[in-house]
Amino acid sequence: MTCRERAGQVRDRYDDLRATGAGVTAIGTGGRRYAQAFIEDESVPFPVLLDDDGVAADIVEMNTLDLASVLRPDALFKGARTLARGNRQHKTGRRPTQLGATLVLGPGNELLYLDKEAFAGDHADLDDVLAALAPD
Amino acid sequence: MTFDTHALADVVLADSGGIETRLGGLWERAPHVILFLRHFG
Repeated sequence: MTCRERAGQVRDRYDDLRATGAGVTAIGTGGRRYAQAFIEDESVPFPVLLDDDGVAADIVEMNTLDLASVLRPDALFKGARTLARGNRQHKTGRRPTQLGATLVLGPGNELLYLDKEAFAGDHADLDDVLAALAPD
Repeated sequence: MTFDTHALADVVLADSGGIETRLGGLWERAPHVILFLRHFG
């Protein structure tokens, strides 16, 4: 799954996420111009911040892409499904091996939810994210 | 599986327009979802 496809998933559930009272922000690597094109092309409704040096990503200690994670059957399946849906990989940033993650943080810097990708396309289930935002 | 959330809160990042945001300010008053994307590709 490409990051653009992931952005579309979150965009489509953005109203549900916001309805809990939570905010949403994306953090990625890449230049300003490329980030702006990403926002416009994908109609991203939430703020997008640039972490080109990986300062924030290093604190979270994100997993990295390696040969074993690329060759996992579930990674291959998701990659094939993404291609079948017509999504294509665009230019990568300065940290192409960095995998993604989904976090929910709250007042007092409390970590309410954390899901680090184990392979490309291993995104957090947004229903789980919603459950963390509205546990009742 | 956790990390130093206080250190993350102190990180300041800019958007594509150069406007800076201190991450901790995002979740100071209410929960906030942070999506780390691999890249913008």
